[in-house]
Amino acid sequence: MHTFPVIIFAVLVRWCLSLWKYSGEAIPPMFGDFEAQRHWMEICYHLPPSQWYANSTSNNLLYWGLDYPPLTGYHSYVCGAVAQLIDSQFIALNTSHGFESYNLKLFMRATVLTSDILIYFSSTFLYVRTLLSRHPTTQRSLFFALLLLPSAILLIDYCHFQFNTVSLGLALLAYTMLANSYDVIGCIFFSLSLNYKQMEIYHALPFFCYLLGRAFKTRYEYIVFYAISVIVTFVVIWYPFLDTTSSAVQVLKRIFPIERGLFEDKVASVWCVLDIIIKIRVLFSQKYLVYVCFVSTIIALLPSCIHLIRKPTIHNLMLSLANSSLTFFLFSFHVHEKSILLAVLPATFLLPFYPYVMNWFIAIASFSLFPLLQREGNIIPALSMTIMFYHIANEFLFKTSVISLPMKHTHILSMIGCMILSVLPLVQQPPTHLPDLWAVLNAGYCCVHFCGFLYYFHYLQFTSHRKKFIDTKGALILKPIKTE
Amino acid sequence: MYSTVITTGVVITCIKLLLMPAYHSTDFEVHRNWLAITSSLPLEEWYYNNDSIWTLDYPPLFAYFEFLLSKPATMVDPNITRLDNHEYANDNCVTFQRISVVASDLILIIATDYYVSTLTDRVKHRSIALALLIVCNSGLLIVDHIHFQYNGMLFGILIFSLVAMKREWFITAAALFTILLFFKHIFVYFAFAYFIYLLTHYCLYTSHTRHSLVTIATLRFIALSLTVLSISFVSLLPFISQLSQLLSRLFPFRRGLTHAYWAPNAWALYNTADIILSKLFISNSNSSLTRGLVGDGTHTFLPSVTPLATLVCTLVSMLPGMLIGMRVNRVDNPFVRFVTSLTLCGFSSFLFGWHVHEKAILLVIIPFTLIAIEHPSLTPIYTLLSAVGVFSLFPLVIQLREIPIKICLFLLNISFCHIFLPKCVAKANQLSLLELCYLSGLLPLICLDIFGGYLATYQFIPLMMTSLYCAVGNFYVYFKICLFAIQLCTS
Repeated sequence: MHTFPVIIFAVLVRWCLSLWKYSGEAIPPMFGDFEAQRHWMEICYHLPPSQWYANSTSNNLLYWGLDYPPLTGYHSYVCGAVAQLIDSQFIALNTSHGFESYNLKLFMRATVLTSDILIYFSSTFLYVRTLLSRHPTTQRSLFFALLLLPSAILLIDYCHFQFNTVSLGLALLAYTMLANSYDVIGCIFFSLSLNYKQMEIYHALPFFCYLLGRAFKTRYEYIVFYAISVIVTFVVIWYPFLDTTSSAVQVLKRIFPIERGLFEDKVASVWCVLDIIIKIRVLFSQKYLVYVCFVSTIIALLPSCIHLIRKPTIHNLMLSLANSSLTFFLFSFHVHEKSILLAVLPATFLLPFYPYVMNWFIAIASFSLFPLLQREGNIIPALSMTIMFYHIANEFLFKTSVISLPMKHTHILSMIGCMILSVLPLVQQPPTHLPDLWAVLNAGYCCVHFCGFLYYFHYLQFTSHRKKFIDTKGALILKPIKTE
Repeated sequence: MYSTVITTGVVITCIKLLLMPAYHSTDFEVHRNWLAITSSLPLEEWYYNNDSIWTLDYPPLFAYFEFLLSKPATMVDPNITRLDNHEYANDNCVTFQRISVVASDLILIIATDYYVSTLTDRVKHRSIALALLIVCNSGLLIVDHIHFQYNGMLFGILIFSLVAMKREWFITAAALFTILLFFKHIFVYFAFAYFIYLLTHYCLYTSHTRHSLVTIATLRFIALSLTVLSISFVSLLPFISQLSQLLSRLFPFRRGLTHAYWAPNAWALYNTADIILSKLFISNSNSSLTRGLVGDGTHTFLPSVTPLATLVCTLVSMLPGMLIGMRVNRVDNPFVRFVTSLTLCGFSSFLFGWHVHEKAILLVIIPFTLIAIEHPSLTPIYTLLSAVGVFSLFPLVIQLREIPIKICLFLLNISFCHIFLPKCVAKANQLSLLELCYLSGLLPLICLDIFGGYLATYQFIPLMMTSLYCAVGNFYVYFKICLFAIQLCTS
């Protein structure tokens, strides 16, 4: 496998993306996610863990207070320590709010790239190396390249500025471990992932159901091992916060902000799109909405999860991860547009099996991020990155599959719609009484697609036993697919 | 669905767009100023205007090209084409100019795709190498899409001309080359190779026996001259009354033997020798060469070099290149000999020319790629040449932020050579130990290049080391290509 050039190319693309603007660049007083991450480095480096989540004179929680689980705090601490070595100005306590400089930007971008290479690159490499080991060199190199370049994830991490590749990479590592039958190590990695970003709860249920199903199939005692490994990992990570129950509760309150609202901005979730038609936020109380969201999400999750418990194969796990994250995105409470990345990860790794539909889905997912990226002045990288990924996947993977004609036509129409909706905001100002028109159109368009994909992914999961993707030794095989 | 070249072209176009916010050199302002000159002044004043220090010093066709670009530029933002708007580089301006380079590069992609159609079935699968080494050429990316210039388009025209040459459409090839020459006169390096090849393979060659050779030769020579002259005449027509002014702009001999950063050629070696000798033998020497200024650097110990001397050296070193072009033998592939001769002519101009820019190494690399993909024996030479060439472009982009990009491009280039160029089975055709040592010697130099900025008192040292090291490599490659040329003629 041509590992070296593929890695270098992936690094090149990432660094090119990082030349662009980050969220909230030079926009006081709050700036954006870039400032949030920098501020966390400042807080975590200078304060003891017990004060990370507590309001104090040197930690104003209203100014980007830490609202991610402790592992993010530890990561920020390490980055802060490096920043201290390079230039203490970067993270000076209290006085560095809104600090921006050429070198700081370079440093912050480098922290993302380094974490990405350490975690996402290595887990992808492990995945390709262990699970696709039977394939010809060129094919494997190509998959490796594609898996390293998921457009939506890179756009958020390297343009907008976040550390999604860390949590997603850890989840992927967990998946790879499970696929190689290292179940306990898999549990540990998934716990780490969950402790890096609470969003990983979107992936939690399929992992749980898979392990449960496996235990039912083999020996019930395994559940104990799984539980112990998860609990131990959690205790180790939460150790500094466990001295009093109130401090642990404080952390939980910060991590799960129930009071935050049904959705932020315009997002392609069912509730946001429904809200355009009927004002559900006005008609119902917040508490009631939380309840409705919870129940509807659980109901929508059930089919996929029950199927996974009954047929706990590694391929079903990946499909179920896609289903679960997409369900959460569409139905759960307080959804960000960035949460779609949780569904993009399994979709990317399903690309070799269902190239046509997964490529389509990833394109739509990137498209759903366009309003966000356009606000930040990053529409050119958004367009070129999306087109690049779509084009590479399109050129090299479709040859293996035969697609039914109606599907082909829908696909083409949908892509034309995307093109129109991404060019319109660039050339035409929205009417004055509807300032959010383009964003709302985008959200509606994507929501319809996501509902369709959710249905189709379920269909794929329930019919997956007809396709033999796994050989006797547990390695994945990619056969030419007859129809999708 | 699409050909390899087009597929690669789409990917690399996306990468080029991603590079838009990267550092751009003063050439960005140069080209903006030309947009302003051509859009706001009447034709007669283009070559006289000197409001900005970046006066128009490209031939007329490029000026027309800038004139065409200035129309959409004014529509995007009228401030771009305002003459007094020096150093204007807001988002609109950067986006417009960067996209204009990316768009003009489409010519290169189409030309390369067209070249693939001339490949024989035996080497058709090498089109991937062609796509990765020409369309995605690391050097071109650094010069055009970071540093800022329009070379991709020009190399596109060159490749079109070479396709015509390969198909033996000699008049078309000559016409395209003349057009290219009036876009950017640096391609005059190739003029000798073109002239000699056309003379020997077109004018003086015939398989017909009905007419005498003299008649055919005369007719063909007249046809060729008419093509070249009419294109020259049309492009120069509006400036016919100001030819001397035009020439003084195009060939500024007062600019000095070497550029601020010495291109890795003979004069870099000569300058170093001068500095070392003067340090040794003259007690209070203070060489002007190391100050890094454009202008006359005078030698203190060795005799100063005149333009005429460089011309003589260039012509002498071109001799092997021209001799290969002359050899008429239609049995084997004459195109290979032509491209070799082209490469050698470009190379000797690079090595001995007056005021050569480091960017000019692309004039050697790009044509050489066309034959390197077909000859296994050229793989090590090409690898060495392109590695040295790309590395010698590093000082063009000095900002900290672009360093990862430069290094990635450099490494990608080497791995593409390694993976996609034809493999050599014979031991003699692989990289020798010496060459490997030389290549790995580039790595510490890259580190020196990165951290060289911190050596405040010896800022010139890393640059000098770079150009010296690369100059040695370039001479080695030059002799290797000469050897290849001799083999080509004797076999």
